[in-house]
Amino acid sequence: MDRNSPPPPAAKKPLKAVDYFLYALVAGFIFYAIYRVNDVLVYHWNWSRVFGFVIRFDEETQSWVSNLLLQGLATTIRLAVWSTIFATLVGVVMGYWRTCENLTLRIISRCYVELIRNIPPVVFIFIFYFFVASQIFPAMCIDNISSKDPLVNNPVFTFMFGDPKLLSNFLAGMICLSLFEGAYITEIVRAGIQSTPKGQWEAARAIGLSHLNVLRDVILPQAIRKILPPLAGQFITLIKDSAIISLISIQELTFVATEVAATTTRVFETWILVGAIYFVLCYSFAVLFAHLEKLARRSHR
Amino acid sequence: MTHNHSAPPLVEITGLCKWFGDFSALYDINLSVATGEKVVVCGPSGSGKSTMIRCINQLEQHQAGTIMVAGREVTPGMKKIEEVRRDVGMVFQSFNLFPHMTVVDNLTIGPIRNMGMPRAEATERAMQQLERVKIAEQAHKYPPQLSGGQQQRVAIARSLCLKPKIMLFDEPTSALDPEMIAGVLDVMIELAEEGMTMICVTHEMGFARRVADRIVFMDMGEIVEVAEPEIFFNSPQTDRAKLFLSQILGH
Amino acid sequence: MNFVKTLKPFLLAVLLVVVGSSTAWAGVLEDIQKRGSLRVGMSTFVPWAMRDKKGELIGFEIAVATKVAADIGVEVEFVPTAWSGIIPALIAKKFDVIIGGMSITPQRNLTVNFTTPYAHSGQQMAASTKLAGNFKTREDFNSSKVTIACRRGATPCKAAQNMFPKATVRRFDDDAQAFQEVVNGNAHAMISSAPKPRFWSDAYPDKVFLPFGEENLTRGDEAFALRKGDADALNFFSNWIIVNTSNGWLKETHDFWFQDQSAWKDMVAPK
Repeated sequence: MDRNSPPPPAAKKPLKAVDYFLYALVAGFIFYAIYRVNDVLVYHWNWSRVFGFVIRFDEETQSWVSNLLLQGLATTIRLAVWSTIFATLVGVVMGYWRTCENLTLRIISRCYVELIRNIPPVVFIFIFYFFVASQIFPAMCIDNISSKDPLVNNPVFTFMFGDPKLLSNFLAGMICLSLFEGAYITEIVRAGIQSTPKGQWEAARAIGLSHLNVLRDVILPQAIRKILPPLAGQFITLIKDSAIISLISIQELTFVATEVAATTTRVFETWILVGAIYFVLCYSFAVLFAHLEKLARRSHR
Repeated sequence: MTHNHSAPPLVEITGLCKWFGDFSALYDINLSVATGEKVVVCGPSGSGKSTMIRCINQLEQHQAGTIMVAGREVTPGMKKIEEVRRDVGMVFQSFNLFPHMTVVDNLTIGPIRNMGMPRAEATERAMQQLERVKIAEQAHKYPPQLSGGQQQRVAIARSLCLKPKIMLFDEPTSALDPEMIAGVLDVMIELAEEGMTMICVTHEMGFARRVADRIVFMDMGEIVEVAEPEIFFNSPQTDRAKLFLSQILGH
Repeated sequence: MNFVKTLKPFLLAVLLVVVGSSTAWAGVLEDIQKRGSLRVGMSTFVPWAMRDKKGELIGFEIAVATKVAADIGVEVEFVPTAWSGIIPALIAKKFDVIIGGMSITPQRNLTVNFTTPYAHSGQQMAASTKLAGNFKTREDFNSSKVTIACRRGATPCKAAQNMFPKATVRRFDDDAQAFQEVVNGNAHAMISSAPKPRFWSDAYPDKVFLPFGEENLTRGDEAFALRKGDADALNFFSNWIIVNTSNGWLKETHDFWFQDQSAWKDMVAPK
């Protein structure tokens, strides 16, 4: 052995008896669950009916066409994307207000955060939907935009926002989710700003930057870099939280799933499939974000 | 080095008092610094050295007494503090460079924002200052890529970009590894020889002997002794100064 | 979700006060005609409204609503809504009318107007062969040892409580879940709107049967629900129902969807 030839790496540890026992335990649990469902629950499994609601073969156009569940999934993704964008806007503004010198702004943002973080999401959604949406939306005349209007009746709009007829419905869900998640993003932004070392403030002030310039040029750029990982996590949380929106009849994946389950009466198949769809969606994003984070870290070195 | 003591002092501190809550950090500080003068402030930790110089550019707000910088009074919460800060440069113990900006951008942001200078002119000035501290080749690197000594030299250049009348140094070499201290001290010595007015809080006694016109010794929030370096190091007047010197010059 | 249930009447009351005091009057009919479409609130509930293979809405309600809209001269727009929030949604003007097999109850009538009935279904009971195979009369089911399952918030649970006060009533969010309890042998019987129990007992003939045959436990009246304060709309819809009852269209359509599933089974299930 000399400096240039290190010893070979240690051999991988073999599985011990404990490991085999744990695997057997987990496998046993899974088999038992399957047995209970099949034997005791007396359920006639029929996956083809439910799969038909994901994607079906259209006789007329002779091609595969997406069906309700995929359309619901598309709505869920649109909701997640737009709500994250607006929630981030709300969160950045409120996060700044939480840390600024003006007492009024601090109070307002603190009230906003505490209000939302201390109410269950379901209750917030009902309050928002029935009070706010029924009073504010008519005032904004959204319902009167005819769905035939060329501004909304084109493929670009449909891609971004979904069916024009469901626009006010979609907006209600989106604003609801944005306000709700915005409170959590506020805290993320606040932590990002406050975790920037005090020395940065001092140095920036010492070279004569005004309060606003310090924030804009020095603090926020650093804070934003720090909050990107938790923000990505919040996006994934939002996808899961969007399932609650089904309670106010937004046509996203969970709501559509209830309709499919009721129509086909195939309760297990529908919900297992929808659970799998959510899992694939969230996990894919989690992997994507982890990958992006690694890239960002490498380029920063 | 002689100074024009008949001209008004660049910095005049009278009866300065600062409390942190109930704790008295500074009491009845009186200090006058003439243009071109180099003052080294030393003393045991907790004596209020950093607090005093941080009051000069209002990073700390004082509760009593007056501070005059270039004939203008510096008060807590004053509106045009940015103008004062153009005249007073500060170098910190922990450098405090902006890690998300390149070295050049670190230097140009002050002139661009505070003085409304166009970017091209600011960049030119930045490169001049980087040459001055002998670090021009690192202009497009990011601070985390530089060593401690290099970062501190960039920090000095950053303060110099605003063409301050006086430079404050708050223990500039305390956070550096020993082999880098000399590089930074050399830059500071050169600055001193070019005539910059400096107030320097430091433990580097060799530097003090070389550069200082006066040594200000502080202990427990008060100025205890003020003397020229030779007198201070060889025959300190007060017991506290004697104790301090025996401790730090002991090794 | 009990706290939500107690919260809803409160929300509803406040909402009514706010909306009632703030709306300037324009009748629902005028709104429908100006907009060019009739917005109908409904819930998925086989065979009243369900999704076919293509994902389109079909069912008795859908047929009725489509004809109403055609008779007014406008298009029909369906707003699928969760049943538990359908009345608040109507009051919040998310749609013009509920055509969703809603039973007339005095309690509901306090907050919405009902037209004359357009269908009469009732509650039917499906029972577990294993647990209740030898039960013959209603009294057999009225015992503390008996468990009856039903869908929460709807008339079946009311019927269960009223008719079988001694039995344990278990509520579920969904008819399918209630029915699953019976099939699994965890409940003696379940009560649901006809003809669902019959559809299900056809699907599991060895596990489930209809203890009282085709006879319904109760007779219900289903009607359209409208917001209060609009006598013109109420008049229009009620008379539409009267006309279509007299000419037999309603009965014909009802039989198509309710008699048995053969007429429309293919539309819903893949071959």
